[in-house]
Amino acid sequence: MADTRVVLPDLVSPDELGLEELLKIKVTTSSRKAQDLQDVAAAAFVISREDIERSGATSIPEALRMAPGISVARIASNRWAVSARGFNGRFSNKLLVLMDGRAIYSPLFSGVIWEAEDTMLEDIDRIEVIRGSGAAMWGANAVNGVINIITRKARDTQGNMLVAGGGTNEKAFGAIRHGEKSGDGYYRIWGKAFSRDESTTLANNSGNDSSHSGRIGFRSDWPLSAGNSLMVSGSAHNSPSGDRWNIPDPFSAQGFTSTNIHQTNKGGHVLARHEWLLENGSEASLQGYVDHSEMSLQNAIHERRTTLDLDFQHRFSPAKWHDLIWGLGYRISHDNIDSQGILSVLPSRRDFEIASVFAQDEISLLPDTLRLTLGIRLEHNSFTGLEPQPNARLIWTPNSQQTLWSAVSRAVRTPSRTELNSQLDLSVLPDPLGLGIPARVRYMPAVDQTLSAEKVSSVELGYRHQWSPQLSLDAAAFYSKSDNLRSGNLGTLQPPSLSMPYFLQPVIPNNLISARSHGVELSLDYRPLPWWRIQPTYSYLHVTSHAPSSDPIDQNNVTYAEVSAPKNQFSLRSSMTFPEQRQLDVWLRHASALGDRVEGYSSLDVRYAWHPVRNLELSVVGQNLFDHHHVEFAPDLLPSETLQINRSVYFKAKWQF
Amino acid sequence: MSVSRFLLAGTALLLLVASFGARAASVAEEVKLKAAFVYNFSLFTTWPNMNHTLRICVLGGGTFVPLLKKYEGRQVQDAVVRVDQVLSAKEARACQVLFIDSSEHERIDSIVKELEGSPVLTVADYGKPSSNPVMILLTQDNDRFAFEVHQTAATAAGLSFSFKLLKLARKVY
Repeated sequence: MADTRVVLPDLVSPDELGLEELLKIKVTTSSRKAQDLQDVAAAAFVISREDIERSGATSIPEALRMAPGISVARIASNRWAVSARGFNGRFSNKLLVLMDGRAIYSPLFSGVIWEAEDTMLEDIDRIEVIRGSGAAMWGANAVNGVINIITRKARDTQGNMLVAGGGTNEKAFGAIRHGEKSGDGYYRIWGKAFSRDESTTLANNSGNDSSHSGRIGFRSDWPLSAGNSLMVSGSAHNSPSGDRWNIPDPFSAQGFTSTNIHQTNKGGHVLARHEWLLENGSEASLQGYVDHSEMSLQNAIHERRTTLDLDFQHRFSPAKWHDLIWGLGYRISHDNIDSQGILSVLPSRRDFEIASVFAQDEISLLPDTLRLTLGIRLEHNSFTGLEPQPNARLIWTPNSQQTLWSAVSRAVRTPSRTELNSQLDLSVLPDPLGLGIPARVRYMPAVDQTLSAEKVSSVELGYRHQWSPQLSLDAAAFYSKSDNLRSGNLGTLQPPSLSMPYFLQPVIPNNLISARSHGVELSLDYRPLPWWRIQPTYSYLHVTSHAPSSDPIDQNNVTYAEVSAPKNQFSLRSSMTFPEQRQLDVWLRHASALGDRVEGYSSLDVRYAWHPVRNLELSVVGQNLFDHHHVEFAPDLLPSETLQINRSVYFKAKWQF
Repeated sequence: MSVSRFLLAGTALLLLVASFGARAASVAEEVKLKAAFVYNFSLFTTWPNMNHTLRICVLGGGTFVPLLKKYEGRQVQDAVVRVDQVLSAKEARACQVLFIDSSEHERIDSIVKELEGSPVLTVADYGKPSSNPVMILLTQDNDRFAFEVHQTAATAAGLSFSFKLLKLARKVY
C-alpha cells in the first residue's frame, strides 16, 4: 500500500472523523497489482488508471505499450498494429480485445479496427493484458492473448470533468463528463473529440493520415438488491481519417498509382449486464449487446455490420474444493458490404454465427496452495464448424510472496470474411515475362474455397515474487506451435485478353504454413523511495516458420511470420511524485528491428503535471523525443504508404468540479 | 545507435533525480488516515477483561507510532488510550490492540500464531485477505479505504465486535 495519495476534505484532520466518514474519503492508489495477480495462473499484466494517466498516452493502443509481450506499432495518426507474442499486422488476428465484455473484433478482417475503438481514458479503471491463450474462457481468436478494458463504475465518476488541450500532433482535443446519482443508482454521460495531425512520409512529405473523432457515451450502474446489479452502457462515434494508397495499376510505369484515400468509421452500441446471486450463494451474470458499425475505405469497400451478442455465466461450487464457472454464448453478426476498386467481396451479405459453451473448474488440490484449473470451450461457428479449445493450468502459491504457475492450451483462429470471400489486388509486376506486358497479382480464393481455422497449442510457465510492498517481479516463458496458418500459393497464370490487357496471376489461399515461437516476458515493479516508482519490462520473442513448398507466396508469408514483431522489446517507466501533487514521468522504450523492413528504434516520452489550484491539473507531455520521426511498421494487407511517426508535444488541462 | 541514446537518457534521468532531492510526498497523509482507523476499530471492540488502560501497540513501522500518539489520553469506554511500540509477539500479549506494520509482513503468520487465543485485536494493512490471518485487515476498495473482519479468530480470542463495525466491513468471515 505504499505510494498512496489521499485527498482529504479541507481543514479536517482524520483524528476528528468517525469510522463512516473515514470510509468515505477518496484515496488514489497506484495499483494493487501484486496482490491481485497472486492467484492468476496466466501471464497477466494490469495497466492501472494511474499508469494510463501518467504515461501521457492519448489512445488505448498507446497505453498498451506498457505491457510486456505486447507489440504496438503505430502505422499512422489513427492506425496501429497490435499483437501479443508475434504475428503483428494492422488487423492482427490472434488477439482478442474486450471493452467491458464486448468483443471489439471485426469479422471482416478478423482483427481489431483500432481507428474505431476509443473511450474517455479517464474512465478506464484498468486494462488487463493476458498473454497466452485465453481461448477456454474467452473464445476463438484469443489465440495469443486477451486484452480486457474495464471502465470505472459510474459511482466512481461522479461530478463534472472538463479536459482540453492541444499540441503539435494532438492538434486539439477535449472531453466533458458529468456523473450523477439517480435514485439508488449512478450514471455518467461523456463526450470526447480530437483532431490529429498528419505523419510524415519516407520522402519527408506530409502523409494524408490526419484524423478526427467525435464520440459520446454513457454508463449507468443500478444496485437492485443484495448482490444484484444492472449495468447499462452505450456509445456512438464518428471517426474519419485519411490515408494514401499505392494502388496496383498495370497501366502505370511503376506498377502503382499513389492515391489519397478518405476513410470513415462510425458506429454505436448499447450493452446491458445483469449480475445476481442465487439462493445457494452462487453468482450469475447475463449480458447482451447490440453493436452497429460502418466502415468505408474510399474506392475499395463500404461495410455495414450489425452484431448481437448474448452471454450467460454461472459460478458455483459443486463440491468442496471446486470452483466452477460455466457459460453459454451466442453471437450473430450480419454484414452488408459494397466493394469496388482493389477489393471485391462476394457474397456482399453474409451472416456469421457463433454458438458456444464453456466450463472451467478450479480444483484446490491443497487449499490456498496448489490449484488445478481445467477448462474447455466448445464453439460452433458458421465459417469452420465445431472447434474445441481446452486448457489446463496449475498454480502453486507456497506463501503470499511467491507464485509458480504453468499452463497448456489449444486455441483456434477462425478465418475472416475477406480471407474467404474477397478478391484483393495485391501488386503489379511491371514485366515478369520479358514481353513488355505487366501482370496483376490478385488474391483470389477458389469458387468452392474453404479454409480451416488456424490452430495454436502452447505451453507456458510463470513465476512471481514479491519481496516487499516495494519490490515485485513477474516472469513468464512460453513455447507455441502454430499450424494451419493462412498463407497462399501461386495459381495458374491467366493470359491477357481484349478486356484484360495484362496477365493475371492468382494467389490462392491455403492453410499450409506452420510456426514455432518461444519467448520470455519480464516485468519488475520497484519503489526505491516512497515517491519514486520504476517499472521496467522486457520481452523476448523468437519465431521460426516453415512452409512445405518453395512457392514464393508461401515463402514470403514464412518470412513475414518471422519478422512481423520485434525480437526484443524494452520499456522503462519512472514515476516521481513531488509535494503538492506535482508529477514527473519518464518513459523509455526500445523495439528491435522487424527483419530488414523496419529499423529498430528507441523512444522517450516525458510528462510533467502540476496543480496550480485544487481540482485543476495542468500537464505537458513530450512524445517520441529522441528522433524527429521514425518508422514503426511497414503496412500490410492494404496498400497504405509507409509513414514515419513524428516527435510531438501537447499541453493538457483537466478540471474537476 | 538507438541503444546508446537509450543509455544516455538513463544517465540523464539519474542526474535529474539527484537534482530534485528527496522529499516524501503526501505519504504521511495516508499513514494519518490509517492511524485514525486503528483508533476507531478499538472503539467498537469489547475485550473480555477490560482494565483502565487500552494499550495500542505497534510492531515495526517507526513512523506510525508518533501519529498514533495523537490519540493517547482519549477515553475508550472506561479505559484511557496508551500507545507503545513493541518488538515481539511476546511483548504484544500485554496489549489490547496490535498493529502489524507492512515492514513486518514476513513475520505476520508467526506473530498471529503466537498470539492465538490471547485477547489482542490484531490489525494489519497489507496482504491478501485469505492469507492474512489478522482480525481486521485494512485494505482498499477502488478509491477508498475498506476493511475486512476475521470474526471467527476474534471470537476465539474472547473479543467481540459491535454490530456497527460489522455492518461497515466490506467482508466478515
